[in-house]
Amino acid sequence: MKEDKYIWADFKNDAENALSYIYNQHIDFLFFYGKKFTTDEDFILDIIQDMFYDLIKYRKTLGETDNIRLYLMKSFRRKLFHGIESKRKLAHLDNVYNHDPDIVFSIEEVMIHEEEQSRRNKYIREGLLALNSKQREVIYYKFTLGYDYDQICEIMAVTYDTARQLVSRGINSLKQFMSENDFILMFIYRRITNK
Amino acid sequence: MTEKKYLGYSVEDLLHDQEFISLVKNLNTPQEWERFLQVHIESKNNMIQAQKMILLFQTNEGVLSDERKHKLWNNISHFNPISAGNYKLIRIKSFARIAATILIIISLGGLVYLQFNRSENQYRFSDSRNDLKTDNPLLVLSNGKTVELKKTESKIEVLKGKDAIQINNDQIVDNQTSNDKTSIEAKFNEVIIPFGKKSKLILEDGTTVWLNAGSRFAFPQKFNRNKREVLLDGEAYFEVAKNVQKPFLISTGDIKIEVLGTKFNVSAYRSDNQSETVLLEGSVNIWDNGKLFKDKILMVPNQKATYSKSGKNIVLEPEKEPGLSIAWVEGWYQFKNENLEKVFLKLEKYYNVRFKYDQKIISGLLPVSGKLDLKDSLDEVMAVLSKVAKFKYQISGNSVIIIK
Repeated sequence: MKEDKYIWADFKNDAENALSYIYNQHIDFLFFYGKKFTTDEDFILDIIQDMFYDLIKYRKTLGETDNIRLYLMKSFRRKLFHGIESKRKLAHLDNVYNHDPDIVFSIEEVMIHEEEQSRRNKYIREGLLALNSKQREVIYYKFTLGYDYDQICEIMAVTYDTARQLVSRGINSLKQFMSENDFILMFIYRRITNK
Repeated sequence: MTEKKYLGYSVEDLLHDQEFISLVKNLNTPQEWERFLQVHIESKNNMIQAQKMILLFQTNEGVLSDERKHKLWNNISHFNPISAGNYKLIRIKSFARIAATILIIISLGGLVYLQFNRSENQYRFSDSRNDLKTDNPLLVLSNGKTVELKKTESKIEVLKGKDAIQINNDQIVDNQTSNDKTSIEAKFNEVIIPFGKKSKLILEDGTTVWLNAGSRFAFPQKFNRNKREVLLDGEAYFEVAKNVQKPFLISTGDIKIEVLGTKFNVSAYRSDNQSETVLLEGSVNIWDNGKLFKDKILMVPNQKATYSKSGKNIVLEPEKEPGLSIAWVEGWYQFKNENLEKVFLKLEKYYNVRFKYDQKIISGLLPVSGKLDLKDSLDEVMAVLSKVAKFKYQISGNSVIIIK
């Protein structure tokens, strides 16, 4: 992404529209990325605001990047985790922040909304529930966003081996219910490929 | 990429492979996927397994509401790094919350003001459906003229750039608005379809609308510059002509649907306690008309959005057979595992009758599936239906009484 490199440089040099361009390009994504980790939308917006404040404050000294989204994700994720951690310390009664930040996949939301909780649905949910929060996150980057291992390592600040291992474990955990759920998978497949 | 790249790959190998994942995510049609599998026939089974797993995690994200986006941008663009020290920032943030609350109230006021003064459509259906004594569809033009359409299935076409409307290929009515050239707002014509009739409409932009029995539909002779707005009370199937610059906006009493170009069916009778939208192609945004902040919901094909008037919310669910929802366009009413009450509700509209029944009898009967030819008489249709659903009935005048 050559273009990103120049936009970022523009931003660092105080070019007038660079900030608003960056904001508009990434705000929707960042918000929904945040929603993968917490349901508290105001909190997400606070974090995004805080992150942009920092970018403005330190714009002259920011590093270079040729992938702005990745840069923002990394910074946003760090702030978000940090924010969730301090919330948890402050209010341990509030069960919203009782657990690790956890990715919720769209497919799970669809299933929750579906009236009929069929037996097949139950299998698939169990398979997904068997994933731990790190596995979920890595699968989100890998399959939902289609990122490569270099990018994943950068966002999550883990080594290549760790990232690969997380994906492997996730796959194995999911494989167990694959055969039992061919029907539901096919139906999801139809829905998605029909666009 | 060599064609034999994936030879000997296990499912897991494929799932680690960035190129393969991108490929699965970016294929647009099942045909493309089939072709890809043909090239890699040796790894076909593993590829299908891997593809299924990848597709499981795809999402349709919406967008952040404009209000929140603007508010946040306002804060960010006015942020002054020099006056905000590191420690102070935290305190300012908690003040910012209070400031934001005030801001919301003020901007709410502003929004309400905008809503009332620049209301998206000032046109409203009059509540006087009862005083329509006609059995035939009516076209009420924006200049006040009323035309009666004598056919059971009439066709109405807006003639582009001609200030006229053509009816059933043989009649052209002038729709020139009387020397009122100052008005920029689009003026609405209205089609009223009584029970038992239907109509096909072609709008100025080429969009085709099939209107089902018992529906009203308002549309302008010419759309205004940045939007294509229409109003619906009833059921209609839309094939919207594509124009990304000019969104197509449908208002029903309860919901709004925004379209760029697509095919879908809307059933939103004011008298029914819920409305349904089924999407066949393309994508649409749908939201609650009563809400101040538009919480747009993005629909993808083969989904059904149901708005319930009691719950005041929109629920999205998969629709396995979207074709059923538009069978009426061809003169069929097709249903699958439908409860009888819903079937009766539809038949009431097609045949302009009222069903009378004891709730207890009906809820004891099983859901039914079938396909009814709406060109058949009510007698014929009821004979078939009663046989399938195992009930007895009596038709007297405008009423159908279910006896069991």
